[in-house]
Amino acid sequence: MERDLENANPTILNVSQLPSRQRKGPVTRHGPDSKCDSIVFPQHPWPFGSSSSSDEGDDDGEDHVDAQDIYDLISTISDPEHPHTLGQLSVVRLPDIHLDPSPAVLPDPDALVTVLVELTPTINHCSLATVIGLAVRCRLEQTLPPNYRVDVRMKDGSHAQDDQVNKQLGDKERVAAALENDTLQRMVDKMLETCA
Amino acid sequence: MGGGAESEEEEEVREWEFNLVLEGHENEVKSLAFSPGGQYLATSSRDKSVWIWEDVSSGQGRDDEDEWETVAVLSEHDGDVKAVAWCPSNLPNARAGVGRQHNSSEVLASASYDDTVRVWREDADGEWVCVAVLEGHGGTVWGLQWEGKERQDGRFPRLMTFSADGSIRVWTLRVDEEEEEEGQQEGNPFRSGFGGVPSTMRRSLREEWDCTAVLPKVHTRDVYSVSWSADTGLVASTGSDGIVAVYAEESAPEDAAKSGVEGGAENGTSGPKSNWKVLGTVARAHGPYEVNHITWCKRFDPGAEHKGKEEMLVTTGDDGVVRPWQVRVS
Repeated sequence: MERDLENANPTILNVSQLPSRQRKGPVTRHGPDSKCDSIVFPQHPWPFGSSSSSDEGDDDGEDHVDAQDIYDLISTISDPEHPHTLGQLSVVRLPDIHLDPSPAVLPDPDALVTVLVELTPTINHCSLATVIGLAVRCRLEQTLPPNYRVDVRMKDGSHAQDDQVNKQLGDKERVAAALENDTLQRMVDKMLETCA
Repeated sequence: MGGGAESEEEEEVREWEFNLVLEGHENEVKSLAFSPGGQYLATSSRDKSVWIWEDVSSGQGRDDEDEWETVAVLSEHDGDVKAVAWCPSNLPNARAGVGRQHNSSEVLASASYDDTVRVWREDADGEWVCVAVLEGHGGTVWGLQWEGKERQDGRFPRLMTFSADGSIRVWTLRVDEEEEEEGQQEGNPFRSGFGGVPSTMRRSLREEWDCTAVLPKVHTRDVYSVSWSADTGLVASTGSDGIVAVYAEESAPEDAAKSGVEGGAENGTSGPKSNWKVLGTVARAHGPYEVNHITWCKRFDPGAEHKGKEEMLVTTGDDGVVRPWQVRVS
């Protein structure tokens, strides 16, 4: 297996180097039992409504999702071929997570928030880019409220077949079809095992 | 998606029995449609193909299985074929533009992940061929709707397409005034991109379709569904942004130059450009969820003033809910 690695020597960051809050928000995330069900089947109403937990620095006591929260959700996903997380491999980077509009200024709790995550695969021809993107989309759709629209893309120029991968990750029918594939679903489940 | 609980209340015995399986597609089937005459069934799939099946049942004996045979496998699309739709042929104008070389008036259109729409007809030899490729959308074309309301100007029914690019486009068949002059078409809009004109396409069958309108932009994300009422001509759309919008065509088409639609021919044969206005929108039609489908249908509920005549909208969403909507146009 070691010989099949697409990138045998990736740069790895120490966990202490990864972006984090001084005191992590005590947000508890409860995903459904099977990690991908929420994408394949109709979702149930977001059960965390007005979460009472609060982060440092929030004036009104409301817990608004920010880029660091998104980072915390997906940086702990395991890489499909290395024993490291996407955060450690810098596939997921905090500056490449964008929320629009910021949930802090949302006029209505049901108003749409677009989450754009740009991924930087470890090497240019990483054939696993689609799987990584799938895992990130899966993780976010399973944990974020239903008014969040998740866009997962390859960072410009980082991947040879960007357009194809982006298009596939943006098509909910293709994402659902991919997750009905046993092999892919097992891979994604395994990658998500390291998520809290 | 939604459960159908009402069937248990009806004691009326109307059993549906399994009849037959049509095998051929390699991946999930995305869409299917019976031709207006019922002779053909078109199916489309993630396997990039469109299949046309013909009803060859003998019609004798009630217990006989239906018999359908494959008459065409159309593989010109470069991606999942998301939807197929037959042109309504019950309209007098549906025969407009049908040249003498055409064997039948049945016209099929397909929408694809390859960002294009293709129009298909049967040629004189009974072969189904692609007669036009409609290019203009900047993303997956999620589906299409034929104009079901008869047109005042007697032209061929138009085609409305909707896409992941957030837009809704109207396409018009160019009137075939100079059939003899074909072959020297400068600036043919179908020449570039996804393979251009298929080699199987005969010159005499080729059709030119022009984008004659882009509906006012409402949606910020994928438009998953549009319904064009054959009754009122009103259009309803919905999609990933959870918005439901209703549009009407303005009665007097403005000057083509003002409409800002690209891709049309300037020689006046491309059909009048049309202008559309938004009559109203509803945000968060299914709360925070995506809305996957919308359709006009007749009202039969007790609240209807003219049962079976006035129309309502029905939507389905990712919340697993089916919602009826009353539409009041003042």
